Formats: sequence, structure tokens, C-alpha cells
Amino acid sequence: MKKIIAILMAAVMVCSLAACGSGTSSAPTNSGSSAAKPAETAAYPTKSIQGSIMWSAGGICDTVSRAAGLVAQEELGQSIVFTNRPGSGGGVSTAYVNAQAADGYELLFGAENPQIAKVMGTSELDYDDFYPICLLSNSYGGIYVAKDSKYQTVEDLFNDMLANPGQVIAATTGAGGLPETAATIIRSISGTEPNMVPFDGENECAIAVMGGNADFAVSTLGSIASFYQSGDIRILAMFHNERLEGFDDVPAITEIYPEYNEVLPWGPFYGVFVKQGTDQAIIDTLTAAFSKACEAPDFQELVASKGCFVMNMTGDEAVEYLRKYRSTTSYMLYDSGVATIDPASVGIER
Amino acid sequence: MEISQAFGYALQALTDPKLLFCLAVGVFLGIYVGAIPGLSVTMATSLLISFTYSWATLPALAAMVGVYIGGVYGGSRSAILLNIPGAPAAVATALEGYPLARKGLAGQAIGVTVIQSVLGGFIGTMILCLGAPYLSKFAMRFAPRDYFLLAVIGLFLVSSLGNNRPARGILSAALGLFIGFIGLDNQTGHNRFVLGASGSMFRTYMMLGVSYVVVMIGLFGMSEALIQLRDLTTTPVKQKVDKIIPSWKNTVRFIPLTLKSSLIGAVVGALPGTGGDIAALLAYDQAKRTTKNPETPFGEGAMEGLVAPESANNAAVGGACIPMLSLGIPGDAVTAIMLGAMYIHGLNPGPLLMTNSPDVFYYIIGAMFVGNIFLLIFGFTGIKAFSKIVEIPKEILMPIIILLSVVGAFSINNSIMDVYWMIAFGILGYVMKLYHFPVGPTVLGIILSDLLELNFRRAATTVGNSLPALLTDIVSHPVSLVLAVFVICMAITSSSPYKRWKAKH
Repeated sequence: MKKIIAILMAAVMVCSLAACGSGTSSAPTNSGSSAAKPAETAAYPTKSIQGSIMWSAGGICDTVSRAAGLVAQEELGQSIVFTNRPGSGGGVSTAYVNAQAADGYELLFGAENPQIAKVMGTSELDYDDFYPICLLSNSYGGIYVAKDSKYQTVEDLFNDMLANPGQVIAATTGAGGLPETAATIIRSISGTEPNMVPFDGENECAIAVMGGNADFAVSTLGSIASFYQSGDIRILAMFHNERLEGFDDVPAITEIYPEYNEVLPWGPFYGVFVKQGTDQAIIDTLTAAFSKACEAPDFQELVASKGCFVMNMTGDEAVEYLRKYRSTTSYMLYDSGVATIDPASVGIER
Repeated sequence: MEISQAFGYALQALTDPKLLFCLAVGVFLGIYVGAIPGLSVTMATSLLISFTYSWATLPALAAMVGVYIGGVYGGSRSAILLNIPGAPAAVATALEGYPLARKGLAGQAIGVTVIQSVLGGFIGTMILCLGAPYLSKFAMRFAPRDYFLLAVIGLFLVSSLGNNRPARGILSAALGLFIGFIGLDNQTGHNRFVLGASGSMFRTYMMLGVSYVVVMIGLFGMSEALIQLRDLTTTPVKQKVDKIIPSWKNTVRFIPLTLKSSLIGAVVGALPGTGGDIAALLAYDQAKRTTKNPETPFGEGAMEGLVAPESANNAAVGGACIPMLSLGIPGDAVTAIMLGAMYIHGLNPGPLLMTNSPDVFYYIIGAMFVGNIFLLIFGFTGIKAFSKIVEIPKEILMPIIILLSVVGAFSINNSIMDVYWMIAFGILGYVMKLYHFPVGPTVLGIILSDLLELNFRRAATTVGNSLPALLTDIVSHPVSLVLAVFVICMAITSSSPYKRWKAKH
């Protein structure tokens, strides 16, 4: 008898808990979330907000997102709980947020990657499925090697790759990530054939290069700036059409190979998004909070120290920027043969 | 940098009352958060960030270091008392600690884990202090092929974690590896074993893969409660709580093992791809292999089996801080969050941290020393109360455990889907236990699956996908060669012809 009662008790507890949870897809971290429902749009936010970051902890996307989130949650009066959901060049996070309700309690913190997802075939979702709250910052890439590398200039590196196809190891972050996309652009323009080895993130790429397990990588300045400053790596060239402040001795790749002017400037950006269909009042509240975050001195200092630039772009301007970015990048990748899917076939206009 | 100045910065950990307070509270909270299955140290530190960011840098770091140290230890409590590891790093502790609790020696077992955690913590911090530059270079040079070989060594742990039926242990581990392979392949962007309709919550969840913490809570927590509910007639064992603090003699006796395990912990912790969980399992395995005549056989409550994993996982804390402080690269999930916190506080962690912010660098080292002293003090609190948990009648305790398992699974990602999976694994674990399939190897398999697979693919790609080239690569690099020899030795000593030969001689 005792046994049956105990088993029943256990079963009831499990069921009741499961039932509590399934009512709302996000966490009812504040009590009384059901009571607050009718007033949700009037008094947003009434509970903590979930944020999905599309790259791993400690990377540049993560750092920028968390720093902006910290200022924004002060403005919103509710905390933002971050979870890193990396994978498939951001495709895991876009899929996750897209599967949630468009109630403003699930934010997407992402980089430029979804804008090439359709032509690269890594995901069916891109920023068309989301609305930009605020584009926080942008940056550029650098081609770098270890400090004791035999390559002194970017020509050394490219010539060695041309002479020994498939022998020079490029560290990447997998399909859809910036290092692989950049390395593929270089391959299509300069005809180099690197051996691309995927690592978990740009940090891990830097370790691989410094530890001699990869010969070079192209990464966001944000993730390599500190190693450049300490002299552990040498940046051979900026993947950009002009030199950048703080990296004055690094030539722009277009100084050596003018043909790169066709595709540059090109680089990553970081922003915060909500699912399409979110109430305009909620969007306005969030936009004001994150725009304020962009103006915070702490945030600006952090962004500058990581070799990035503050964007603070919102509303129609941001939508237009995203559209243009997707169009130019998709066609650049398609025309150069990097992407095999025709942008026109997935509804991207030139 | 003058040594006296560095010492001064480190001493701040002891002299500044505010910092001391933050650190103490951190350690205390860490112990009790860590003791609850599912509430992980990673989660505690990330929650901490959301309210420490407005603080000054050092108090915020003090609280985080405290939670880290306390939390890594705390996981062992529920492992010993309830056979439910509070964290994956305590899986090995449960194997020896729980049998002790069933003999009424839970208090004594907890006492040993406190002392060993503190010793491991001190040794880990010493290694961080003295060996950081060398170890960080070593960690950086650790190639994908080396990670792969390390994971292969890890696979041999099946023989330690399993029971006397090796085939069932191997099957369990294979199940774990399979579960680990579910989800999106990061390198190619392809889905593996992902079910459900496109765009559905279920599919999105499967793309992310099943969290191994969810599996652990299900296989250990939920299933243990179900198994215990089968037999309610046994009266709970009365716990002896008079001799909690282990004798001086007993601690000194284990010093060589403590040192060896701590070294394993610190080195494995320093590698950016591995953390305390793998360190603890490796240390347990080597203790089991090298201890000649344990007082109590392994699996029935051998003290050596508590000493090794507990000293190793706390030494791994110091190890994980090595790449964090010297390179700005996380050694595990908790240090990744601490790095994020440093950025938020306007620091620029990286190779220049020691030059630009020596106060922070040396404070963290000081805080780790002092934090371990707090661990020694707080570690002995609440043991009597905690030991009483085991004496609670099963019909009350077991439903509470199920409740805790549900809460724990839910709180990882605030996802109800995690709860469903946890319950499913709880039922699976129950069936496995009924038919004498050990559940430890399953968790091991999941922990190792990424390490094993991704690094094998990286290693293979590096040499142009040629097996002879990969073998040449392994033979021609000293670290890889040593690891390969280890693998071969373990394979031979685990084989039955060797065991027969050994039995004869």
C-alpha cells in the first residue's frame, strides 16, 4: 500500500510540474505570469527576457551582446537571461527563436551570418524572418599568422598556397562562419587552395594558429586584437579596402591585390532581433533600450577595444542595411562561385 | 613586476574585508547550489553576472571565484548521499561515496571529499601560480590528434565505471556516444538523427542536441528514485556523524594519490577542450588501476576512489584559469563566463592582462587560495543536517528527488523539453538498472562524443584525410606518441589474455 501511495505521489508531482511548464514556452521566472497576460502589451516587460546568442561564450558576438544587454536591462527594468546557442553559422539560434512566440520575450543576438544562409544553404531562415531592434556594432576581418610563422607578407602566404595546393592549413569555424567565407572568397579571387579545418569558434582558431596546428586564419579583428597587441600573432593584411586605426602598420589587402576592391568593404556586424510579428509597442520599447546601450560610454569603450565600431542603427535604416548587406554579399558569393545557390532563386534581388 | 608588489595584490584577497565577504558568500552559495543536481556552477556564475555587473571589478570577481570553487566541491554531496551527482564532475564520486553512505559512513565520506577538494584546490592554484606560462604553451600546442587520443583513453574508463559484465558497460557507453552524436553537425551544417516536423520546437531542440546534464539527471536522479521506490521495506541506514573530520594519518597516507590526481586535474583542466568532468573520471580510473590493495574494494566504498576524483576536479579549477588568465581563452564553461564578465568590467583579458591589469591577475590567484580556506571552513558545515537526508523515509524522500530532478532539468535552459527528455532518460535508466546495465558509461559516452569525433575529423582533415599520414603524424610528435603508447598499454592491460597471464604470475 505504502509503495503504491509513494509511486502515485511521485507521478502526481511530475505531472503537475510538467503541466506548469508547458503553459508558456518561455520560463515563467516571475510568479503570476498568467495574471499579467492581458496587460502584457500595455506593460511590457513584466518578466525576464530570454536572449539567444548565436556564437559561443567568450567570442566577439557573445561579448558585444552581453555588454549591450546589461545596459538595456537597466532601461527595461527586467533582466535579460542569455543562453549561447551556437551551431550551423547561427542557424540553430535563428531556428530556436523562430520557434518561440513573437511576444518580445525571446531576443535573438546575432552576427551577419544568417544573411548568407540562403545562398550557402546552411539555413532556411535569415533576418527577413526577424525585425532588427538595433544593429549594435560592426567590424572587419584580418588575415593572420603566428608570430614565428615563415610567412612575412600576405604574398608569401598566397604564393605558398598557389605552389602547394591543399597543404596550407586554414583554421575556420565551419560552414557559414566568417573565417570560412573569407577564405573561400580569397580562394575564388586569388586561386589559392587552403586545407580548411573547422574549429569550434574564432578563439579556438587563434589557439590553433598560435599553437602551430593551423598555418593561418581570417578572423574578426575583435577576436584577434589582444593577440595582435601582445605580439603573439602577426596580421599580414586587413580584409578591408583601407587601413584601420589601431592597426596602422597592417596594410589593406587592396594595397597588394587591387582586385579585392570588387568585393570589399565587407565584414561582420552584430545586432539584436525579434521574431517578425512582434507588437510595434514592444519593438519601440526594446529599440529605445538598446539604442541607449549603444550610447553608454562603457559599451563604446568595450567595442573600440575589440577593434569594432559602434553602429546604433535602428528602424527602417537597419532594415534597409540588412537588405543591402544580404544582396551585395549573396551576389558577391554567387558571382565568385563561392555560393552555389542562385540568390534570385531564393528571392534575393540584386 | 616586483614580486612584493604581486604579492601585495594577491594579499588583497585576505586584507580587504569587502572582498573577503564577497568571496565567502560566493563559496558558501557555491557549495549549496552545486549540491543540487541540475543547478550547475555554470548557471550560478551566469546568474551572478546579471547582478554583479554594477559592482566594482574585484568584488564581482571575488563572488565568481567563490561560487566556482564552492560549486565544484558541492557536486559531491548529493553524489554521496543520494547517488545523484550534483554535477558531471562528481559522477566518479558517486561510485564510491554512495556505498559508504549505505554503510552509515556518509559523514566520513563527505569529510574526506572536503579535505581532498581543498588540497586539490591548493595544488591547482600552485600550478596556476608557478606553471601558467609553460602549461599555457603546452595547452596551445595540444593538437586535434592529441585531443582525439585523450578521448580514446577516456573510452577505456568504461571498464572502471561498469560492473562485472564488460559487454553491458560497452553497450551503455555506445548508447552514450550515439546520444552525443544527435543534433546539428557544426562542421558541415547537416542534421543527424533529428526528428520532428520542420520548424517545430521538438526539431529545434534536437538540432541543439540532448544536453548531457539532462541525461545525467535522468539516468542518475530520476532512475535512482524509481529503483528505490521498488523496495520500501528496507529501513534507512542510521548515519554515524561523530567522526567527520578525517584523521591526520588518513590524509597523509593518501598524499601521493592526491598529488598525482591533482596534477591530472590541473593539466586536463588547462586544456581548452576539456574540463573538470573528464579530469575527475581520468583520475578515478588511474586510482583504480594503480591502487594495489585498497582497504575496501573499489565499487564498495574505497577511500581512494573518493580522493582521486575530488582532488582532481578542484585542481582543474586552477588549471582552467591558466588559459583564461594567460591567453584570455576559456578553459571550461565557467571560465568562459568569467571572461565575459571581465570584458563587461572594462578589462581586456588576453595575453596582456598580466601587464595591463596585474592587480586583477594576482587578485584572482590570491582569491583562489583564500577561497579554498573558506571551502575548508564551510565544507564542514551542514554535514550533520545533510546526512539526515538519507534517514528520511523513502516514500517522502524519493518523490522529493524526482521533484528536484524536474526542477534541475528545467532550469538548465528554462526549457520544458529538457524535462520530458529527463523523464524519458529516467525511465530508460530504471530499465537499465533493472537489467544490470551500468548507467555511468552512458554519461561518459556523451561527455566524450564531441571530443572524440570532432577532433578525429580535424586531425584527419589536417593531414589530407589519409590514414598513413595520420599515423606518421602521431608517431612523429612526442606528446601524441606518449598518448598513443598510453592507449596501447591500456588496451593490452584490459584484454583478457593479459588478465589470464597476470593471474598466473
